[in-house]
Amino acid sequence: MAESAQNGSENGRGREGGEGEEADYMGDLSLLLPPEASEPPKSSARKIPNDKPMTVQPPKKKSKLLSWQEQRKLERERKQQEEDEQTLANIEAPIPQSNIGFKLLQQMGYTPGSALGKEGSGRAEPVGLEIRRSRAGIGREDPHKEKKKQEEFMVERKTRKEESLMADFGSRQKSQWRTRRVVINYHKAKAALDQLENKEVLEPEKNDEDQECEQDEEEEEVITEEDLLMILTKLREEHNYCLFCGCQYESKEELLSYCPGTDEDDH
Amino acid sequence: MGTERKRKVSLFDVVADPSVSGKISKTNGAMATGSSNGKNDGSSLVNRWNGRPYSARYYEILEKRKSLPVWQQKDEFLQTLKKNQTLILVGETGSGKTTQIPQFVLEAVDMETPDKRKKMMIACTQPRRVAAMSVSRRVAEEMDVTIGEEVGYSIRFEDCSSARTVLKYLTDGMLLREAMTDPLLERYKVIILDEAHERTLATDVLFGLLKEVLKNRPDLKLVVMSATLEAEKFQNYFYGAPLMKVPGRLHPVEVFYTSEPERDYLEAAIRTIVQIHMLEPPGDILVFLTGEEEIEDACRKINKEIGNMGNQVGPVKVVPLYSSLPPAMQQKIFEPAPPPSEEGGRPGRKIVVATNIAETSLTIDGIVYVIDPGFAKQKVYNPRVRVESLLVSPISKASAHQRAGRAGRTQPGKCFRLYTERSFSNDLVNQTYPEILRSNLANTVLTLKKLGIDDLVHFDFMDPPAPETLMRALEVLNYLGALDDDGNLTKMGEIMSEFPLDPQMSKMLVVSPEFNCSNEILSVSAMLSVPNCFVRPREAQKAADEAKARFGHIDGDHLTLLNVYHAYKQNSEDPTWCYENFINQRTMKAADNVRQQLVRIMARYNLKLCSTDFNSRDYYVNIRKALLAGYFMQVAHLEKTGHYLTVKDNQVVHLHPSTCLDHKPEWVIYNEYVLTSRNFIRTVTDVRGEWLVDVAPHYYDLENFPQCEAKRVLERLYKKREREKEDSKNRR
Repeated sequence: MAESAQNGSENGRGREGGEGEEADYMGDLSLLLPPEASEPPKSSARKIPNDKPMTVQPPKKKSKLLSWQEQRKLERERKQQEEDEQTLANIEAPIPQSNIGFKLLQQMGYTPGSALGKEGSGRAEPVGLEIRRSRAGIGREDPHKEKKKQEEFMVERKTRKEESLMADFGSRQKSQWRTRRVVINYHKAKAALDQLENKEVLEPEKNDEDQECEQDEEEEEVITEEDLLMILTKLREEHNYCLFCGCQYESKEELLSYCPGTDEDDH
Repeated sequence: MGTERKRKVSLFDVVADPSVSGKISKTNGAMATGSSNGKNDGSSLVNRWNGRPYSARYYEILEKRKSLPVWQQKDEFLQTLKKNQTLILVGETGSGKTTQIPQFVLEAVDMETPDKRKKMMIACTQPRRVAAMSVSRRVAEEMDVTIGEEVGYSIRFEDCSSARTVLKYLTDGMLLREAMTDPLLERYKVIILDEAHERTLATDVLFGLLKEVLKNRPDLKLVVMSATLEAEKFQNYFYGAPLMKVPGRLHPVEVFYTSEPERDYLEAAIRTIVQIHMLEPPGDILVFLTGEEEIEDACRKINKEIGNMGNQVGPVKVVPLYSSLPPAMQQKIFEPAPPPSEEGGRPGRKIVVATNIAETSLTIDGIVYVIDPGFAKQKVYNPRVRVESLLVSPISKASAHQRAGRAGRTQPGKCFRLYTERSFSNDLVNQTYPEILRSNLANTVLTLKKLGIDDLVHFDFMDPPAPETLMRALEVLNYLGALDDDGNLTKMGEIMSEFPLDPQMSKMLVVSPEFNCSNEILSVSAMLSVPNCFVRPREAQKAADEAKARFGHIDGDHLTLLNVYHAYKQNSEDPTWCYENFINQRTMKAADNVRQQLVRIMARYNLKLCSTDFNSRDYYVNIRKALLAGYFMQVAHLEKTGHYLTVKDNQVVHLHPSTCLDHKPEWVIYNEYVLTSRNFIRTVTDVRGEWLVDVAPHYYDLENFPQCEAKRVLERLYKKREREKEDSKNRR
């Protein structure tokens, strides 16, 4: 009714003359407000503080370059965004059954959960609210919403990237570890074979292992999983020996029944 | 004079060919009598309504009327109406249905009653007051009778009809009010619901009501007239009533979309205007924007942009159009485009920048290009947070279609939609939600109750509202004492329903004598019922603000409005005084008229008119208490953190910058909660916590209160109250 007329005067104000007035008003607020104090009492709005860092930071970064009016404006917009989120959160909560209006409607024959109308064909939920405070065209959202979406998307992409990096890193670590195991096992198996073939040969000492490890770099390319497999098979076939069980079995049958498998992982 | 009148009329879809109207305004009077029509029929025929011979002007207009598309189907219409009780008529704006159909009916239906002094009537409803007034004036002219006699109109706070009236244009809300005293609408023989596609709240309620009335009154006929596609829905709702289509006069309109969504629709609109002006052949432009401020802003930018281009382009005339614009300014949209700035120069162009009032209700000839950013301010209501406000929202496909059609009124046109074709099909809903789904229904429920409809759950709404919307309405009416705990209308509710106002305001008026200030509450109510009275011209903002400050009352805006009203009366309603003090005189006149109407209703129910002594310290206290007695559900509390929370709903709100309060009172009542650039409460007055407990203990009942700061404060107040009671007992 008086909407447009009053709107105009309000906006005239918002633009120029009123800038000071409203700015003062907000100035008041910021004096009184510790940053976290704007947290609304409702539990539904609790998520807002979490969102805060995301929305706060960009203006803060820019703030050095902006005049104080613009800072105020940004600050006001940010506060309004928070309030809008709260409004939208409050809209989720239906009117409780204890409400007198609920009871009165029930007395008229309303069954909770149903809709109104001659055939009960009405809508069950009130029409929702969409709050637009920018001049973004149809098919685009308010810039802050779009920015937020983008930020969320970026965050998601970052975590996904990190995850994949982690996974990548893990698998690389694993394969590195694996090749190292192959080399180590190969040397162990070689030693065992040597020992079994000419019983006089002494078991290599632990120190040797370390030394061997250091030498690995050269040998790494030489010793492959295939070499290891070959030597392990030889040990098993010819000596009934399993490197991972660490013992020589009496017979092939015993080896097959007691040794859990040919792989290190089986043990 | 003749010209001006004609233009005003062409506001509301009765337009004839502009070239013809141009000729007639030139040849007005003497020339016309010389025309063959005037000679042949003029001498022989007498106006059956007032017994006077027809004037020459009658024949002039008659010729034009006969060229309207709806005349082609006159006989078909009358025959269908004869055979059926209900009839649905679909016609685009410009078909002439609003002015001609009621006259067709008048010719065919016998309006006599056994009582010679009284006649039966035809009612034609309009969603808007302005339309009811101007259409009835036009029709009175067409019928060659005086407005207010055979043809009249009736709008809220203004009845311009008489016992002789046979055709009455009235707002849909007024017909609903008439039903409260005349449940079967027995004074009417035919009821025409016009602009039904707009689906206003009152029209929707009338639908349900008339369905019942028609069953009980076989002699009553109903014509539903609509502009667009929902006709089949109407048909189903009215038990398969026959449907008639009147072709509009539309030329093809080519529609263009953008390839990407726009970042800023206003910028895009201005860019498009400039391009059209540079590249397209002559023809006026119509741009749809959302509100006064945006439109004024756009007008300045367009003038600047095109001004910068100098002589490269033709001159332009940029004209704003919105409902709060004074009528004289609105007339500017009918002025022709400017001529070339020099002989043989590039042709000029008229650019109309309008809200969606130019979508259906107003017809501007000469528009060839339409720019549609796809937005409009629409009313929204949500019962859960109890906010009723105008919000900028995407329009519907039906609206977009309607807007495009505006380009094809006089010749083939073009419509530029500032969104993608994909957005059109994916982001726009098919039809705008009818108002009944977007409104606070407290007043409607009170009306329905008064009409004797007790089962609101199964009432035959075309689109039944959400249950919670009705719950809120019932809750409000119960707290106001209009409904008892069983949902029955109380005596209080009966009286309240007599006021054409929101229930809160009605309640405030009804109880104001108890606070000894009904005179003042009447003035405040009147001022709240009219548009903003403060004028703030761009070129004199500072002076206007100073003038307003002089009316300011320290305790709030309601009292400031009272000051303005008193000052206006003290200065004998002097227009000069209004001008000098930046007060809109039209608004003040309207407020005065509203006040007189309200006084009449008060008198009818023996409500005392009284005032507290102005020198008493209780003068303003009583007024504030009476305000609270109506608006105790619209209170906000100042939190320690420095912002306001609405009571019970805990919405964060801010005092509107237009408030005259220079401090922040702990408790305030507010008239409106709106979502504009922020969540504002507008028209605010300081009240005391103690009064909440005194005036509305049933609402400020702590058992029924969410945990919050306000509750703790109230607890303390209640305890204090207890102690005081104890003390006074002990003293005795």
